[in-house]
Amino acid sequence: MLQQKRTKGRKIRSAAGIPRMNDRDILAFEWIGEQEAASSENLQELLGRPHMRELLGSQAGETTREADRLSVSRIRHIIEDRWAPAGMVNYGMILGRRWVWLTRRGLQTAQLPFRSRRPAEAGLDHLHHVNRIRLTLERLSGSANPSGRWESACWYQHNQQEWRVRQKTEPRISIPDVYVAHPSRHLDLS
Amino acid sequence: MWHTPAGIWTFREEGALVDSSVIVEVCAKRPWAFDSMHGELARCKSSVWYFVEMDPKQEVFSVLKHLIEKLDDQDKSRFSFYDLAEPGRLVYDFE
Repeated sequence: MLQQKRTKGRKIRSAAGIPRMNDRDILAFEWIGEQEAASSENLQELLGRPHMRELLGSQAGETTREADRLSVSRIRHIIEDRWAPAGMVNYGMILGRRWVWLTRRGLQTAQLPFRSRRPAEAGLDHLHHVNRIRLTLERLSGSANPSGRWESACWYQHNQQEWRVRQKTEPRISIPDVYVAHPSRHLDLS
Repeated sequence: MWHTPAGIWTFREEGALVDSSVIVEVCAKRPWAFDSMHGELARCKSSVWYFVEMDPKQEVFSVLKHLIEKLDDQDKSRFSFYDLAEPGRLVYDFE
């Protein structure tokens, strides 16, 4: 009986304390969900972007000495005290890095059509670097209003599948080569 | 997921929208895996930016370069290599 009361009490406190998600959180969920997962290090840069910090105003919290990065402790607070209690993310230490991926609720909040799954260990190092490259490209193209747009592997596969399904019901439609473009020369990161 | 680009980066260049397939390689590619990726890339004509681990001991860059050198000249010219540790540094291109 005593055990039941304690459990009930905890539930009430927990329900009362669920943080509300703000625009910054939802933008971050979109980014994480599109990439499948993000490491804590990736999030330091993502959430430290000036426009992300502007969305929070005075709540933005501490930064590191490195410009435009949030501190490790700030990221831990966001994950453990905001996102996880709201049921938006799962997180864990995997192969020496803290990883975050969206729950079903998180994916719904970000309006993404993907399934929630723990990222495979075998691909995590690769994913960490893919995220770094996306962050770099977005930063260099102006992250608040980027002149470039990233379509992640998750979207790429999703879109391909959608067109294949559509082609079955409408055989005359050919899959558009949405990725065709005039070859560019080089990445200008100057 | 393994044999599709890590992402497609679409940007404006001289007023036109341009796509680039972005690939990240952290370990040496086996020939069959490269063939599979190349098949995926053959679906479009966009340029391909490889961000590659440059540690010579890991042979990521040398193996990929060797595989791409076997392609015809036009196909080859789509590929550019950048240093994964320093993404703005162009390491090699086939033009």
